[in-house]
Amino acid sequence: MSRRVAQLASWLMIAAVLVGACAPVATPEVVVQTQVVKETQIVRETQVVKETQVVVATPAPKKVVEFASFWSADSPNGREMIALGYRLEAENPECDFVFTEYPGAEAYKTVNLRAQEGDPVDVYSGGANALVPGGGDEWKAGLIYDLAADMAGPAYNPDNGTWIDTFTAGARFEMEFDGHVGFVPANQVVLALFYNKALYEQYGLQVPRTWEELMANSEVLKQNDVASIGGGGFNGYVSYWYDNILYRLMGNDRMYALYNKKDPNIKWTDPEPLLAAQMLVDMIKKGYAIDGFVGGDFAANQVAFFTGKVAHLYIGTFVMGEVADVIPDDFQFGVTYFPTVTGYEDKTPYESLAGYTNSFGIFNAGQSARAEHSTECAVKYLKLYSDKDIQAGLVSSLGFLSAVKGVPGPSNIPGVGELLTNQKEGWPTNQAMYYNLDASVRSKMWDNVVLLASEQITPQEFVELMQADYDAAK
Amino acid sequence: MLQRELRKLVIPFLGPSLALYLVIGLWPNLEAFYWALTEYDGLAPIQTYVGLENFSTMLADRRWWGAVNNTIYFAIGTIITLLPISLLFAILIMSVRRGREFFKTTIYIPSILSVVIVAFLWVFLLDSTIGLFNPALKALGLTEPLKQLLGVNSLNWLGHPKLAKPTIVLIQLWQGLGFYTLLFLAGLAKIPGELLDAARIDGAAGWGLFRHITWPLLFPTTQTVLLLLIINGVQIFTLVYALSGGGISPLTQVMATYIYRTAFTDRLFGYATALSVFLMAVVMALTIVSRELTKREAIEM
Repeated sequence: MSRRVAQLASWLMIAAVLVGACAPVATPEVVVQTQVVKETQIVRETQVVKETQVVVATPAPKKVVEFASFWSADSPNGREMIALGYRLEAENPECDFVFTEYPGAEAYKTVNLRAQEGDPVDVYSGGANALVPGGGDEWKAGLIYDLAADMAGPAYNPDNGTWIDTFTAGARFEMEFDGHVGFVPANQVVLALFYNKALYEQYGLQVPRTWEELMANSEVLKQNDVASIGGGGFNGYVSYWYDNILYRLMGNDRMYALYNKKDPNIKWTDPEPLLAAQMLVDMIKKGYAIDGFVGGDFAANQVAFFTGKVAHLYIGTFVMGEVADVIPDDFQFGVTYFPTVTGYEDKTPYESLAGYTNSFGIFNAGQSARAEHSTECAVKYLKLYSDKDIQAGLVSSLGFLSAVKGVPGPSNIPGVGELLTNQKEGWPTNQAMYYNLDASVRSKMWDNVVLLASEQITPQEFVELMQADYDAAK
Repeated sequence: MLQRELRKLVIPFLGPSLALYLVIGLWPNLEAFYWALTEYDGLAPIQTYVGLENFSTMLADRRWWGAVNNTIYFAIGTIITLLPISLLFAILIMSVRRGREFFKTTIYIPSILSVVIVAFLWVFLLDSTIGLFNPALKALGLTEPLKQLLGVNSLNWLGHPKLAKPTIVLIQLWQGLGFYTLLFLAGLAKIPGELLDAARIDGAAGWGLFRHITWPLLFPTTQTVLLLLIINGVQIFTLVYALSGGGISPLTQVMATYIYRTAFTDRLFGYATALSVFLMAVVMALTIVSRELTKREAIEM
């Protein structure tokens, strides 16, 4: 019995030893589990850090070219400009084209305010009046980027030479001053003497090169009960005629000095301004100008021209767009330069065109701009725009007159392309001729010309009024 | 009780409108007095105080006084044509027994049209090149007699210095006749029939009946018509602006169009505001004078 007890006790002891041997194993297992949990936590923390780093690294280094458009995005012009923006981005991945609308003729003032506040757009369309020769207020304030260095470099297509050489003489006349280049031309509008070819053939008339020839033609037309000169009437537009006659008499430089009060020795009471006034009144008194009406943009005179009631219109090339729908299919256009005056042929080349250049200006980068802008990308965009082939495409789709040499004129103005090609001098229309004087000078001149044309004042009184207004002008 | 309850609603209902009026009506008007003393281009933040310089410029501005002359011409021209003719038409329409509604409608139609549409319509009717009016005169053989009568070389109705202003007055007459005739018709309808009958029994008829009964009783209406004609005459803008397509010549320039040009074309906002202040003073003075004159007459009646 005691032996069995002893055996049992032995087994129990062995079991206890075995159990005791197992017990230390269980404790290390707990430690191992704890370590596994700790390792898992470390892994999770590492993943979080990696995700954060991915987000921070996302933005691409693009630079904004903000194009402030005169046209709305859904207009034909707007769509073309946006399409060019896509092309810019495709060819220059670092450039980010942004199209914003600033519609209407007055919008450039708003764009200017942004520039003054240090957050300018990059490219602005339609600001020719702000960038007139000599520099408008924006130029003087240092807001406008000087394109001279870029213009001296290659054009978009280097085969076309330097960028500046791609533009017409008329456009360059407005773009360049004192070694600076203020803008890139968007397109050109020129004023030319349109005539009705059918009437000329019917009455055996020759295309006039001089004022005297034009007056002689007018007399023949009058005898045949056809009004010669359209676009007359007693409204301010008659000043286009006065400007042209005076330009032919004075030449570009002297007229510039007169209109902009640049030279105290050149006055409105000088012989040429008086003679121009007399010539204008003489034309009206002889009954060569049509009886117009005090109406906007002489629309009725345009209708009279296209219906054969008047033989000549001195008007801008925009006329084709304005009344394109009402021009008879068989109407035969003739177009030529404004005639010179006998005895004054040396003052101006016969091949001169008045006009104005619609423009794209580039604002200098602003100090408080909300995004990183790139003048370099803006220049690339405008180089692209003014490429000869691209311009040809734009003229075809939008129908404007290109300021780039060798680009054909719109198909609905036959002959105007040749006129531009042969152009020797360009000068701005009267909107841009008073660039350093307050805007009321122009309004006053229009008033005075109306009074002159309607014979309320004599030519002598006209020049005296003009001199008084200029003396008072700031 | 109900009144007291309703009174509580006055502030919540009137307040927003009053606040709006103060902000967009009264305040700009008051601010205009300050602007009139400044040089300001309307856009740049610079507004320079120049004292009374704008008003002294106004006194020396011959174009402004030309516009004032033209405005007075249009105002007087409109009053002396529209007032008697609309009264005459009202009396004629009241006197017909049949077709009164037809005549009322017919005469009122031009007043329904927008002033701009009226202007464009007349521009193309009167245009000496493509208009319908001059060929019609020619067909009737009236062109040369009219030229001689008016002392002009061409019948350029809206462009000739001698013809432009009278033509605009006639266009105003054509457009405004219906409206002012209706006002007089309403005035005539308010005159009690018994009064007219009593006068007729007493032997009044024709001109005597009109002079002693109808005309005095129409004074409140006449006062209103006169007031409207004066205010509209002095403030004339849309018709002149639309007739000239915006390119207004000094031959037809009026005060309001000159102010508009000075501000929005010439960018002289300070000066334009000074001119506006002057125009406001003129309108107020004329209104007060006309009210006083017609009030006195009404009391006498």
